[in-house]
Amino acid sequence: MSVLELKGITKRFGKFTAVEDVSFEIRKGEVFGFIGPNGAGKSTAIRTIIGAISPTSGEVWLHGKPVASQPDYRKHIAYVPGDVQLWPNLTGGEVIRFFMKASGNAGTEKMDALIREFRLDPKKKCKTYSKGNRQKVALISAFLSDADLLIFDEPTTGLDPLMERTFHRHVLAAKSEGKSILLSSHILSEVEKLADRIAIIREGEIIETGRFDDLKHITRVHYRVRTPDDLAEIGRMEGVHEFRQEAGEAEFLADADRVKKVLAALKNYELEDLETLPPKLEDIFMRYYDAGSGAS
Amino acid sequence: MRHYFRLTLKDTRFRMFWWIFGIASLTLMMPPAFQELYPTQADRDVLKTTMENPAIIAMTGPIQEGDYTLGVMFSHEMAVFMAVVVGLFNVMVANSLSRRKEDDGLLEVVLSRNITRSGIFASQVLVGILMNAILALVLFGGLQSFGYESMETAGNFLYVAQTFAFGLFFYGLTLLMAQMLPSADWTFGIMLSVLLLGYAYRAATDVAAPVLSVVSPYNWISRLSMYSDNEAVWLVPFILGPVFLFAAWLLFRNRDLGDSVIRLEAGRRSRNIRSHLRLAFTLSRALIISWLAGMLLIGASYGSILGDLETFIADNDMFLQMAGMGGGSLTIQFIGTLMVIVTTIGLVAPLMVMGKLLKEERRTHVEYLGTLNISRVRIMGDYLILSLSAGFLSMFLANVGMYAASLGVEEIGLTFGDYVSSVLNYFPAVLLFTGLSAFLIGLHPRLHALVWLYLLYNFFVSYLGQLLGLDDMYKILTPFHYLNETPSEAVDLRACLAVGGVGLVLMSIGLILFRKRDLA
Repeated sequence: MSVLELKGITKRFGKFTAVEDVSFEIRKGEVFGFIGPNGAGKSTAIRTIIGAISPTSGEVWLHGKPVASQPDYRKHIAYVPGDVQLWPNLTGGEVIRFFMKASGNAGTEKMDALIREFRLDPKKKCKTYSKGNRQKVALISAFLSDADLLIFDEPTTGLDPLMERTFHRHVLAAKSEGKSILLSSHILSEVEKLADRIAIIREGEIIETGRFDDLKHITRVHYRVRTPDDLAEIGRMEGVHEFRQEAGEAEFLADADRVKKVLAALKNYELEDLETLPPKLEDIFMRYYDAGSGAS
Repeated sequence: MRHYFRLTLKDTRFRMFWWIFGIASLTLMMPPAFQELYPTQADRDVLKTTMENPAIIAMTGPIQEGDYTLGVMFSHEMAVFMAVVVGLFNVMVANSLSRRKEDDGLLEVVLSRNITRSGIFASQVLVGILMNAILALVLFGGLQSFGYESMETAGNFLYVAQTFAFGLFFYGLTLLMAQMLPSADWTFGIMLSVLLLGYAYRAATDVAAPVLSVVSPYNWISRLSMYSDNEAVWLVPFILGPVFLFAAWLLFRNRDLGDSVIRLEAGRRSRNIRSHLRLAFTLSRALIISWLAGMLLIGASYGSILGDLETFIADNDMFLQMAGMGGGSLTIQFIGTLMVIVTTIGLVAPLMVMGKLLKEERRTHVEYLGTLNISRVRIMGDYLILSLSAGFLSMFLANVGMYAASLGVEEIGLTFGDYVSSVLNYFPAVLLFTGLSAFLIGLHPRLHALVWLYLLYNFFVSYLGQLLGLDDMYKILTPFHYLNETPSEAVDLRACLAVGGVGLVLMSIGLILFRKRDLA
């Protein structure tokens, strides 16, 4: 059963359409990646889920019922905003304890452990915290809650790599507890590492949803070739992008559906080495961008 | 620096425009109104005799010697009063450009952009000078255009000069406090207290000990004797304005951003904030407490003149005849007027608390709290509870102050119970204003400014209505038209229920709207 389901969410602000007919579902115990560039409508979609704004049309369902019929549905949700704003004159510890009281759980031990793991000084006032430290306060509070749907909006933008790993560990731990996680990001390697399924949003519309493996057909394959020959011919082929060759080494991307033809053409050259690099989400994006700019 | 100045100006121009427009139109409305109400010198002389009593002096300052010409009348009834508004204008703009921007981290960003501290400070100062200068020019043009015989150029010039100087005085003091105090909230709270207590102190001393009154800048305005002797020398003490600015610069130059000279919360224990109500209180505590202390003092300073008023009335047969009643009841009538004014001032507290809710929304806290399953109804409800409590306590403490300070005056014959029932009588006004505030916030976050305009309107009607005998027509739109004037009249329970009921209905609509609307 799906934990969260968005059914055709559209949100307009006056004439501007922020998201258009956005639908996806998140199942129990899965990490769902929600990716798209800045301003694509990720946060607007999330704000309709948490009820900060109501959709112009469409419905949000939680646990098989529309949220409109569940006034207290948000007890199942823990949310970490992209830009965490805390109360400047309260300390981090005070805020975390307040959040624990508000969501009705009180495991001081777990709290202390998380504060240690994320290396937060809870005695300092929030106005002295850096962005990363404010994010830690929100993350700790979210991981402490009993909610079974965790929503993270660009959660690691302020964290250092070490803390990023701590965050990833806790996301996977939450997943193994059967919690569902909505992870919105424009940092694609992160989503790639954690997400079971993804949805890609661009200019307010979902352009692709599915398991990462299933999306391969729209990706590009990254080749690295060592050869004494001049491969410029290959670079001019249809479906080959970002071709570069210097000092006996060539690199390029080939659209997945063009791979056969490219490999066939490569046979005509003397190859010393051929390396295929795993597809990246960045490459998916690039393909869509090219299509978008081509169309407009 | 030029760029930052231009940016600052762009950022504040709407606010400045509305303030200047409001102050100028209110001021310039008056001379023609006075001319119409009291066309001859004889009319004005009669008015003067009724005004030469402690109650009026407490409100407007001492009356000048000599003829009560149109100009003298204008300056006497308007200058001190408008100074409060001009002061408020300056406090708010100065605070928002300095400490508020610093708290929000904007100054830091600007500093990192190769704009120096002196550039930032110079921009702040220039905006202050510019806005007061524009206001002065508009007023001068307006006053000159009337061409009334008693309002000649020298007097008009002095009037706008004191407006400019008084404004800059408070602009400078606010910038100074912004360096001394740890946050924008503290700066605003303290400056508002200085502004209002300066007025209350002048009221008390003008009546009881005129010599001591000179400490208050409001008294310098009275001593200018505008439109008669034109004692321009009393502009000199306003030189303190630039002195404050200079002191503020010395502090700002060497201080760490975010730091302050006075640190108010050093080494306290970690608080356990158990509920949203506790959180809301923690956020508005500084504001509420400093405001309540101010209300107690305002009440006390009004109470302290009641004795003089009583003596004056007892000694003044003509006055008694004119009023056509016993001295005691006249004092009680004056107390009734004070109650209305004190209530109007007390209404500021609940509106400020509701303003905190708006700030919580702007900072995305309401959104965040929502995901903790704290409903919007609960969030606004908690602020309503705080607002109503702050409103009630404001009025209660002002009345306690009045009662305590007038304990020695036996002839008044009001018991503590009378004061309490007066508080209860006017409490529906708190319900109404809080309700209106909730309603507007429920409609749209930007509409909340309207409730402040409405409060200002109420204040003018109850203050000027008293001096000018304004038509009752203007009063119909205020709750004070419907509520009986305690303690001289008995409490009208039906009116209380009606006014309070409207407030409660507005509150409920506000809650319903706020529950559903998109957050900013």
